[in-house]
Amino acid sequence: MTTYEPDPMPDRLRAAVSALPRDVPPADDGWPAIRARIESARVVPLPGSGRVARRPSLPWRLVTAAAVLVLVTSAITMRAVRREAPRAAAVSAPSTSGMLRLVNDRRKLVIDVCNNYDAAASDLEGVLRERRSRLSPATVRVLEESLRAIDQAIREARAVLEADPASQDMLDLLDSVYRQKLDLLRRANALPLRSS
Amino acid sequence: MPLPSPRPSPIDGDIALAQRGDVDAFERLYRAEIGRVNALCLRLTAGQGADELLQDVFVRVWEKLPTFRGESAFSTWVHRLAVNVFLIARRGELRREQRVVSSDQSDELPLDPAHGYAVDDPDARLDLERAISLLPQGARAAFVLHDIEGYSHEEIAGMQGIAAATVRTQLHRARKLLMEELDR
Repeated sequence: MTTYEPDPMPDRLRAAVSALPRDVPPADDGWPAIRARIESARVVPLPGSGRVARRPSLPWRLVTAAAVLVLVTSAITMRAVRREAPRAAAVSAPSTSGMLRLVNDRRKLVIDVCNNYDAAASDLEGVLRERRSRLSPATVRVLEESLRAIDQAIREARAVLEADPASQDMLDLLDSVYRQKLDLLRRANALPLRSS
Repeated sequence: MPLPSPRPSPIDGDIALAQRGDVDAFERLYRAEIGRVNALCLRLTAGQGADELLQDVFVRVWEKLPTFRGESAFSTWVHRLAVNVFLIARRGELRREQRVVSSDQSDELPLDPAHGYAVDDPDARLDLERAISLLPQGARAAFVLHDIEGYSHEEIAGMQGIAAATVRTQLHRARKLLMEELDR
């Protein structure tokens, strides 16, 4: 089989490329917006995570936070299901091809969101698995309970979105819960390990 | 005489601090990398949505920071993450829009640049930046990643989920279009 190889880069083009700057400072400082996004995604820190001393860091706070998260999610889920059931039925009805395409696009969007977050969470979970044996049993127990609660919230939000992919509220909630999961995992992976 | 053991650089310390949740340390890392990542984002997006992409990249870097093990240079790791964030966003856009980008089929550059670079700038570097911004999306990604950033055809193909032959074809088209534009 012949493999197509492009011609070598012309010298003139090569010279122009080599003259391109490696660094291009942005016109505006984007850091404040990035910091705001990072801060807004934070959850109650895990014990021993050091920073963010302004928030209490007892394990029960974490469990409480996760439990509250599930309760809030469940309440919103029930409300959304009740309030939006007629709309969901209307959206699902294949009245026009445009409507169907819209629903399919939204479903793809939900799948994309979940896939992206799941990939990031999977990486972090891998790191956590490697560190797990060197964390205290109490911390591991708290972590696992919290992650179970968050995963339950994700499942509930996804179930609602499956029935009503047009629900922007639920998509926002799903996004928020996933962010909390990533933040929890990231903090767990930053916990100091016990010396063996 | 034994060689002195390598001392950790300031950036290593900031990486360790940021991995533990220190946002101030992360800001220092951001400031160290922003120029290079911004250049990449501007070229990949032709300046359209580059600011949003830049934000997404650094939020993603923050989220993934605990997985950084120092197996490559930090800037290389950030750079690859930026490319991944761009490609994921692009795939999402393509799926959502479900449209055929007619300019990707064309062998001529669009007449209206409007991509953030001065058309009549006499500087050759800006000419090339402008010409890159006018490339069809696939050809632009191939050119930026291969000819500017140094990724191989196979790496680019793997990142985009396309055949290496497609990357080569896009690269060939990009170079041809750029040369035509520079010759004008």
